[in-house]
Amino acid sequence: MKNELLVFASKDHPLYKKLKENDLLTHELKKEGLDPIHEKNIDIKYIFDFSLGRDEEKAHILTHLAKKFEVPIFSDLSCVHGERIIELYPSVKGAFSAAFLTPTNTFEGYAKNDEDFLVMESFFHLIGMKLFRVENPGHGFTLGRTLSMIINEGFFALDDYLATEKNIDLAMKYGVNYPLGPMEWYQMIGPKPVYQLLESLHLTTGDKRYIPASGLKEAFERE
Amino acid sequence: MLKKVLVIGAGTMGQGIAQWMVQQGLEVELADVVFDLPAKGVEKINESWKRLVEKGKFTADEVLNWSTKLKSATLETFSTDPDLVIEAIVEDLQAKKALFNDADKMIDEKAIFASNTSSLSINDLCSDLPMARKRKFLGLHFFNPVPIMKLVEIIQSKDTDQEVIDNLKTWFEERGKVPALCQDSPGFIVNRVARNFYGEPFRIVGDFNRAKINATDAILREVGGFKMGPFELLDLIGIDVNLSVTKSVWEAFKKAPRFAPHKLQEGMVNLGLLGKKTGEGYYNYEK
Repeated sequence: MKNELLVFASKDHPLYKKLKENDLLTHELKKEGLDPIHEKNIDIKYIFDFSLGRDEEKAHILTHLAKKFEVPIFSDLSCVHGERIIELYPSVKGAFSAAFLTPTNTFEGYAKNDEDFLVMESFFHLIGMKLFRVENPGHGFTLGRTLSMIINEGFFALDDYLATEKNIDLAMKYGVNYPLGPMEWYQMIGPKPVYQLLESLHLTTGDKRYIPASGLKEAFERE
Repeated sequence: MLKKVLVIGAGTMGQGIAQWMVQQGLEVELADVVFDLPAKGVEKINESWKRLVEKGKFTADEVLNWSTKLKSATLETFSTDPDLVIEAIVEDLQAKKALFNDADKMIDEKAIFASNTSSLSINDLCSDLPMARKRKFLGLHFFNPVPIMKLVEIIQSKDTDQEVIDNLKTWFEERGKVPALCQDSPGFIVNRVARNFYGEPFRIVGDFNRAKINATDAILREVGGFKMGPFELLDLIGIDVNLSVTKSVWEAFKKAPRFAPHKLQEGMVNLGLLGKKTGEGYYNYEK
């Protein structure tokens, strides 16, 4: 399968290192240029997109790929309005939420048909990860969206000096059996997926519930 | 540090706290405003220990020793020399304040006063007490079932002595509890940070749709690694109980949108579909 793939990732994607370690990364997406692929006559069967970007950046990349290659694209739509992107880009045959790392090593995955889902599943198997098939990517899938709100509240609590990161994590793990504390989960994921998903939800819905806490915003801007 | 504890409030939480405290080797009195509740509570704890001996969790000697250390009392008969008083009565500010004010007059000044409140301000609860007692006043928020759940939130008021907090933290740690220190703010840590484990799935599902509810629970379990999904957990807790906590936190945060209740909560409560206890909630439990 490896030889049939074009896999690219942005350096800040939580799976970037794992893709590289497994010798799967064929292209690195640079911050300064959104056109990821310039080589001609690449003989590939599938594209896997692990870029982390805002909705408009993702749209730009997918437009470029769809023009250049007539092959199925599987895209990480963790932080964007996935449902809309799937509608707009027919060549995007499947989507996954791999920016939100999980303690189960499982991600949500959506595909238009069984065959495409199998392709995605086989790819994730190569890096020791599993996919859980969902009916719809929605906007930021289900876990990423729920987790972003929980992590955001952790940041609001820090902003209010309610408790330390350690005490917030202890409380959630031992009081309500969370598999990871919100702040240690955030450490695994990094600020970008959480911040960008909240920003995307806020822009799309206009609902102020998605406004990121100032501590999260600062962490995102620092990165 | 602690030898004798008075637990006031003999409901589920009071019983759990009393049971766990006795299991740490302390002398415990369980009291309540309702005359016969403490004796019933002590009886229930003894029955629970009996079952645990049968299951091989404890020895008969351990339980015999504990049962001699656990006593029931009324608000007229409780001892006035405990080291720690833990209040676990109804979530009513005035009732709790009156209880603490009366207890302050009767109980030795060395005693630490703690409330097991999950939603009321610790600063408000001790506002009428003399400063000497305020320095020994804090929140100790246990989680149900107390003998099993490790967490205890230790809530510091603006007047609580740091030494009291530090000593209790160490004391709980040495006995296998996990203390989480926090300031006095609505919902403390758990009831605040956990709000969107429910709030966001409500918005993802939107309207009542059992297939979507089922799928959401499955994702949070299978992908997220949570023991239960939000909807099955809501059915277990009680949709009304959860709505009441949601509203209390939302109002305490001046109706901040991120805590706002959802129609999928309120609608269920209005229909009397409260979860397992009514046979139907987000899932159906009727045979």
